[in-house]
Amino acid sequence: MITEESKVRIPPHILWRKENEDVVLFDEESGEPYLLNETGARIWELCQQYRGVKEILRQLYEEYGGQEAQIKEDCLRLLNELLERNLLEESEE
Amino acid sequence: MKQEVSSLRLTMGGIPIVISAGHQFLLDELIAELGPHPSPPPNTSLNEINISFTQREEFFAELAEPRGRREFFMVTPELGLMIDYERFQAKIIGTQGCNLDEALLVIVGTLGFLLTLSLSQRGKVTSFHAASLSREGKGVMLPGDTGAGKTSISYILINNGFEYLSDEQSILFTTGDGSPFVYEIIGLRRRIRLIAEGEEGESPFGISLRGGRKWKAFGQHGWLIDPINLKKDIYTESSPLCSIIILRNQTGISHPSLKKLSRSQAYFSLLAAADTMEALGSPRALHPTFRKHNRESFHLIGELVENFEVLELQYDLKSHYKQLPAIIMQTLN
Repeated sequence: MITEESKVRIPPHILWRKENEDVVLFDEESGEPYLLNETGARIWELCQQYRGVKEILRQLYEEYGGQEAQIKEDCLRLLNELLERNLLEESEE
Repeated sequence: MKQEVSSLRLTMGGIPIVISAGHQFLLDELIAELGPHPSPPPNTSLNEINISFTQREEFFAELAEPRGRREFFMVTPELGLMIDYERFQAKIIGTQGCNLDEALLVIVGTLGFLLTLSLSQRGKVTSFHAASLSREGKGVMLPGDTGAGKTSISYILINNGFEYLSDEQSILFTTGDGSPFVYEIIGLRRRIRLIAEGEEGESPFGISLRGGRKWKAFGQHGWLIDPINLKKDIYTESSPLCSIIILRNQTGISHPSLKKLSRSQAYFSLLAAADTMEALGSPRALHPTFRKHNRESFHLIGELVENFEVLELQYDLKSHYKQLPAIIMQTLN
């Protein structure tokens, strides 16, 4: 389970591409496509940029402002859903 | 004991396919309908696809051998299919009680599936769960879920001057040399046999069984999905792709509408319609060939959404079918 202390990475079998504000994901092993909306796409990009969930959250707090608790809850929910679907994995680094 | 009686060489989309058979009745039917290849095509050894029919005991004995990566499906209790990814072979088991219609449907599906893999060695290729037709040399591909009306709309378009390319699986191919940007829709053998208008009397919409075959009817028109009666003269040449329209059949909507999808929606919809997805449904399919094929699909579809507007057509098939040819035709102008 991904928590604020976790580090994450995008596994090599996940192909992705940004299209306008959205991100299209493709699991080349399962063959399943996924579509992330604008907010999900931003979190995905931050996963690529940062490994640590703390850093991802910090960036989101800056960009979106407002309710940090809500942002954290929404972000962790998405990250864990991505983990469950093997679109994201936890990293030791 | 398996008895090799003969072999049949076919070409689909310019790719040679070799069928050898131990089951006389299946081979006889195929040769009767398709005809033997006049001469063996050159250079078949590297890319040929072998499909053979074996007895049940032999089939399972071979399956038990610890060799390579293979996938096994039992289509019906009488009909099984094994694909050997390393030898690039498919074997079909059919007992004497095997339904010939079902066997040939499996063969047609398997040929398309293996053709896709074979083409992928020669250029960029992706197959879609889609109908495809052409008019005046311009091809339109119509991806759609099961029940979207791909076969029905194919039938309607054929009656409105379109030429058939496929009504179920569409294969896009490009040599990938970059210029000009051209995708060919590979013409597949037509599997719709038209029957006389009103022949059935009562014409329920949808599929039912008539004489053991799948029967589709629409209004006063009817047709059979009937691979046994495939004829050479209805084989259509490939056609350049000019238009992509995602089909959405929504019961109860008041009028048909055509809208442009955003690039991300188009990308997602086309990925979801790519046929390889189904082949990759099991962990057994994690062969490098498939990963490579899937990766190519991802990139190829990316190129498609860069170069084509992807449209979505929403309609209630039962209410709007007469309006659809004109709507689809306008996208080719």
